[in-house]
Amino acid sequence: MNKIWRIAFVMILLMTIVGFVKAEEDVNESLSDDVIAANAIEVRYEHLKCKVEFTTTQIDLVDEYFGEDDNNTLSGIIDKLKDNKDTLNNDIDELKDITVKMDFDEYAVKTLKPDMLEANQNLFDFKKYYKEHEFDNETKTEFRQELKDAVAAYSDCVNDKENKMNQLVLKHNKNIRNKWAKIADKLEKKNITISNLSAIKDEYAGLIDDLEEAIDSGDKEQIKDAIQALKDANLHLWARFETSRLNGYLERLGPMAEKYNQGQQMKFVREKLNDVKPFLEKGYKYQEGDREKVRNALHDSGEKLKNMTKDMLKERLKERPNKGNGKGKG
Amino acid sequence: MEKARDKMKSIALLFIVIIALSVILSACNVNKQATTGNSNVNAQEDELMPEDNALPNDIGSLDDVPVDDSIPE
Repeated sequence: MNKIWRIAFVMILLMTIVGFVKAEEDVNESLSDDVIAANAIEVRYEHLKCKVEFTTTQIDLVDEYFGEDDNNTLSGIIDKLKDNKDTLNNDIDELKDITVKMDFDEYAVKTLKPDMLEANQNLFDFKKYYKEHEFDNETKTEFRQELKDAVAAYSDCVNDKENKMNQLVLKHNKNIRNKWAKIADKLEKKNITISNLSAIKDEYAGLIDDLEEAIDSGDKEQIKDAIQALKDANLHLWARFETSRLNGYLERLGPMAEKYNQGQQMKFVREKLNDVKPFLEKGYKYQEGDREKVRNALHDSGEKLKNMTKDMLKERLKERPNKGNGKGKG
Repeated sequence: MEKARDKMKSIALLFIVIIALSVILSACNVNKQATTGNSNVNAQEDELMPEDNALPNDIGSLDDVPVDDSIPE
């Protein structure tokens, strides 16, 4: 009897574990994109913080070494720099609470960047004054050494954030590739073939491999080029994948659409997909407005296909009881 | 007598476990049928409905904010 109880207990335990593992997998999958996006904003914030801290450290050094100087021009510059320091510290505090990418972009470009440029201009004015005036050698040597240390610390700080961002870009693209692979598998099960899927897969895999290699090499230029190539290909690959996918659905839905008089809808989707064809040529450089055009055309096609399918399934459902009755009578 | 009663208890418990398991399994099956079988619409939708595949989000890049890192002579 004990044996039976043990078996029953083990079975229930196994079922529970399997359930938990499955649930955990689902959660991880659905969260990973959001987590990457949130981490990217955090790394961008930390990267800007490196810049602000480096600039305010320079301002502190200028104040520490030359703040007591009773020259009007110099004290005027230092006063401006102190204001810059307060503004930049305030900017970076504000930025810390911004978690929406669009808002973050806007604040970084429209507020922080101009404030930083103003601080840079005042530092430039100070450094110009410094070059043109005599200070005692000891002060100069110490000041320059502290500046060098600040530059080294800044360099370490930004390098660390660059590495983190590169890893996020890599992970983000791997996630997209995996998502597309899952969609493709699903389509295969539905007997919908994506005609040029292997070419799209290979191209994407090649770009991801290039970035991985560049990161391993540590060559900044190579990394920059690899990330740029991925960015350039982002819309292009998606557009090719989407066009093929929707064309696959069109083919699959063709006979049903004919039966339920959805010819006009099919025509609409076909035309939309044809419209984007010129943008799908390999190496095509997107002009201004092209991106929106392609994205909207593919989005509209997808929506139209979904609505069309819903309508046809409703029609099919209406027919069902009649068919059932007919069979029963026969 | 005692032994026979214990045996009966064990058998009853075993039945309870088996019944509980069958209830759970059949509930799963009923649920599955409800989603895939009853009207068959969901199955058809799953088969024919194009899934969403929006343009992947741009996670952004490090901001191009210049700093003055010159060291004056």
